[in-house]
Amino acid sequence: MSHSRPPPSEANVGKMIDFKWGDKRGVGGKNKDIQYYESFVYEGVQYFLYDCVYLYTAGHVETSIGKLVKIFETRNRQKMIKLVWFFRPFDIRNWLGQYKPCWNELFLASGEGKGVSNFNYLESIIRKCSVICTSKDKRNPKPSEIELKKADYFFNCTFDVVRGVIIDQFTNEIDGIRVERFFNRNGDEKTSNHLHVGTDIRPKIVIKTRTNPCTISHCQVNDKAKVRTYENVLPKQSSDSYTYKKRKIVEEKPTIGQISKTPKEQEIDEKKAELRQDERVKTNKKVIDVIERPDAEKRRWFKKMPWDERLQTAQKMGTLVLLNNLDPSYTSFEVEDLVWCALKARVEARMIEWSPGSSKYYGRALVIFKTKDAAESAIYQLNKRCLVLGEGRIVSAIKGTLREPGKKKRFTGHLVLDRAAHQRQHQEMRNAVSTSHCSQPNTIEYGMATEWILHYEKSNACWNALYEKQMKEIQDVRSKLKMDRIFSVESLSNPT
Amino acid sequence: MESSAEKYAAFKQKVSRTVYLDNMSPQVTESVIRTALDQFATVKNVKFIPNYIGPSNQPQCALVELDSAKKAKEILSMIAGYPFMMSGQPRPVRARPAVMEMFDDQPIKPNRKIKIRWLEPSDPDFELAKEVKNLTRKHAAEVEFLDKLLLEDEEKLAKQQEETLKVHYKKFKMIEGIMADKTAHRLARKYNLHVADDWARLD
Repeated sequence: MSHSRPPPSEANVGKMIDFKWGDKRGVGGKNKDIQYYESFVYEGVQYFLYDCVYLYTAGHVETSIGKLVKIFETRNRQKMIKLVWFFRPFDIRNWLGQYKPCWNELFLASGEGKGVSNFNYLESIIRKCSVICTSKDKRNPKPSEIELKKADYFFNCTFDVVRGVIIDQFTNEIDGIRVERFFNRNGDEKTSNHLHVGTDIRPKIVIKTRTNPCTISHCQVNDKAKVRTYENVLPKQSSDSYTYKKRKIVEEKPTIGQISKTPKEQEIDEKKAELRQDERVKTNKKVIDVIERPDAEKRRWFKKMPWDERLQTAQKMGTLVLLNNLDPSYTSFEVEDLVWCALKARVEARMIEWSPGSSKYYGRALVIFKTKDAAESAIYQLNKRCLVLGEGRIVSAIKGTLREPGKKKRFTGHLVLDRAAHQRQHQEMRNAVSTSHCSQPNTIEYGMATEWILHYEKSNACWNALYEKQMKEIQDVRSKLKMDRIFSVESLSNPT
Repeated sequence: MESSAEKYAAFKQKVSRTVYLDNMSPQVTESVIRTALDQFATVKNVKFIPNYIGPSNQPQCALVELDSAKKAKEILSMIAGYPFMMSGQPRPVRARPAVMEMFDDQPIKPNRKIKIRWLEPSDPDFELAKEVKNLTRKHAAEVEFLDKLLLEDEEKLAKQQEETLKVHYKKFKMIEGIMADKTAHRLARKYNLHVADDWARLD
């Protein structure tokens, strides 16, 4: 790897930088001009090979985590590190499949290809990170309870960057490094966890211009960007650990060395932001398939109390809700399932039968909730939000009020003569009441009946006119409502 | 799924031989309906449709299942042809062919998948969805209002018919009176007219 860019000059970095090389390890490179090291002290903290560190990447809210596998100084006296990456679950979200990662789980990069490791400037280290391996692999020393508790992250699997799969087996080497280096250390091996080197008692000094973000090399970033191209197109979601990690970054910010972004990565970032927004919209776009309630079968087993009583009780208890704008062909069971899927409430539902005087479009149902609170919350939810049904119906809910049950003795349109006035007539009327007959045209009754039939026809015409008008209004609004958009489950690539 | 499809088809058959009766007095009972229609067809089942939320004082309605779709058609045309009285007059009963949605126990449509979705206030379609909701409310209010108007109309018609009936009754009573005390006969003799003994009475 060549470093064409001039390194940050000493003047730029300033003499206050808190840095010291540790033990030498050997030399490498074509001209033997690369000096490898075992350790270094940076900002009062001693880092060893195979320590895990947080790295700051400009433009990324999240830090990256990697394992130091090489520490060296170039001919130009540039301090470099090589890292094997740990992926966060959302970095590999597209490949997770059925795997349910923990919030503090990482995946060690593996496989032969770009994305396993990168070279980085030593200054981009934020701080140490403790990562514990919980693999049951024989080569892996079992971590203690305390170690696990203290660890920032753990990993159990690797992620093959070439095949895009999660593997719980560990190969002998990862990026040319013995796999033992990635497992937990044995007690006798020297550990440097959060060790502040005693010799280093100089005060920490924040150097704002320690590294110039604009001039710092891009070769590493380029490499990483290639990896990130597929990582970044995955919409990231905020996880539980989000705030926690962010806090760390804020803490560390004054001392971090920034890595500039290449235009390519910037572009990717923009794309990612777009996708993220898309994702936000999509998470709300949950289309629910109404399925049978878990106890669906039971509903058919028992004969229940008559509806009249149940409804009366419900009204008294305030658990009765009237749903409107359902499909009139829904059955009561379907309404119960629907309420279950939408509100997670077990209810008893009864469709109101369609009658010739009522609208063909609007289906209504009386729904009995278990408690008054549940009923009120349902009404609140259905008013505040909108529950859309497949056919462009929006369910509306009001408190259910039953008709006054008091039965009227007299029926409008049935005439009874003053009985006391005429005994014989009275007798005949009683006979008439108990029987049914067709009216004959030579009677007064026939004339009056015709007047009623006329009234029926008039009512019909009124209803038809009203429903026709209503239907037109419904269609006007519905044509504006993009049902296909609301119910689309399109993939990200499809334009909406 | 097959059995539910069969169930659905069987139910459709049942609907086709069922007649929907409305504008019935609350005094009409199942036995009244059975007696009334027995002369035309075998009544298999009678089911009154409860009125839970409609305006009170609504007439009764019922689904009457007959032995065949053909019989159902016959009854429909009979009731359409002549004003049919049940437990009172002169307001006739009305009959219509039944449809699926009139049954509260209709089976689930085979293979129907209901999809629902919550719209949050942040959704671009939320305002429109709200408009639909408001429209539903408005339409329900319109229906309620028209119901009220038509009921008032019915009351008016009934009142007017009652008045007419009273006048008729008075007239017939007077005629009966003059027949009973032979006034009519005396007058007929005087004017040399023939008087029949029997008068057509109301009903």
